[in-house]
Amino acid sequence: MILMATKSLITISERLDEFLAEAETEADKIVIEAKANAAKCIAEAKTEAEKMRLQVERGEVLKKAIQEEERKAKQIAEEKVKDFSGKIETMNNAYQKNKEKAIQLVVKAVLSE
Amino acid sequence: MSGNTTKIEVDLIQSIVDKRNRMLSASKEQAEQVTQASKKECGKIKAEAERQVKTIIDSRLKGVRERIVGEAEMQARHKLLATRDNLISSIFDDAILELSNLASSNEREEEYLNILTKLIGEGIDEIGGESFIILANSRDITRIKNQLIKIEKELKLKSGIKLGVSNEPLNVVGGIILENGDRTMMFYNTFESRMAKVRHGIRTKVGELLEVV
Repeated sequence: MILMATKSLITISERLDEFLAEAETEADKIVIEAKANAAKCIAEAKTEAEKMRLQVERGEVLKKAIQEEERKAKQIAEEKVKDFSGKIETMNNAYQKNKEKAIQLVVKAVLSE
Repeated sequence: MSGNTTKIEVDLIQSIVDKRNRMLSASKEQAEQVTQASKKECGKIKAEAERQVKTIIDSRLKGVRERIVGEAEMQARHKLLATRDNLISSIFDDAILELSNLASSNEREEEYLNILTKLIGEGIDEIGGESFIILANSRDITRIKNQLIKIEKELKLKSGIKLGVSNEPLNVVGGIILENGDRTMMFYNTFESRMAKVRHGIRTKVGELLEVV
């Protein structure tokens, strides 16, 4: 009777050892898969990042933005030119107003040099 | 005896199942940590890529903006400066015209003669000596010849000093060139030479008076 019981325990113990070994393998597999997925995800992110950078450097995504920037810049440039034209007009008006005085200043300087 | 064995078996099974569960739970936790860390790393990579892309785009757009605006501004500024220069230069041109009018005006004959007298006097003081030749444009040659006595009197010349007038006309608006008798020294006192002397010095003042600087 004792012998039978002992034998039964040994059998169970052996099966449990196998069960545990399987569990250990499964646990390792979970971690390995997670690491592989992580590595894949990082690799994909790096590839995507490089692709984005290259697309920008090649100007593929810039064309539209550049056209828009050119349009805005031309508007600013027109404003600047208008501003300078205004200054030139002011200058011409001041010239007309003060011209005679300036001529007399030069004439006086020439005659009294 | 059989009951004891069964209890041992049950305890053993329970202990192993617990161990298995702990093992799986720990590995799942570790896997979750790895996943979270990778998500964080991916986020960083994406953010850095976006930052780089933004830098590239900003730099290109800045270049486009600066090229267009800078070029327009430079041309406009150049035009402004050219206009300013032209306006100031025109004052000097007009002043020469004014001096030319003075030199040819009958109404201002007396005034111009006084000026000529002063210019001749400056030449005599500058060159020194006793004998001088006056060079002038054709109109002024006649004028000076006609008024030479008056000029000499006006200058209160010392006795012995002789003034002659050259018959070779200068192509000048007004004023004179004075030479000594042996023609080894010349003193330029034409309106043009006097203008050249003062031009640089009063250019800024003219600009200020015109309110263009």
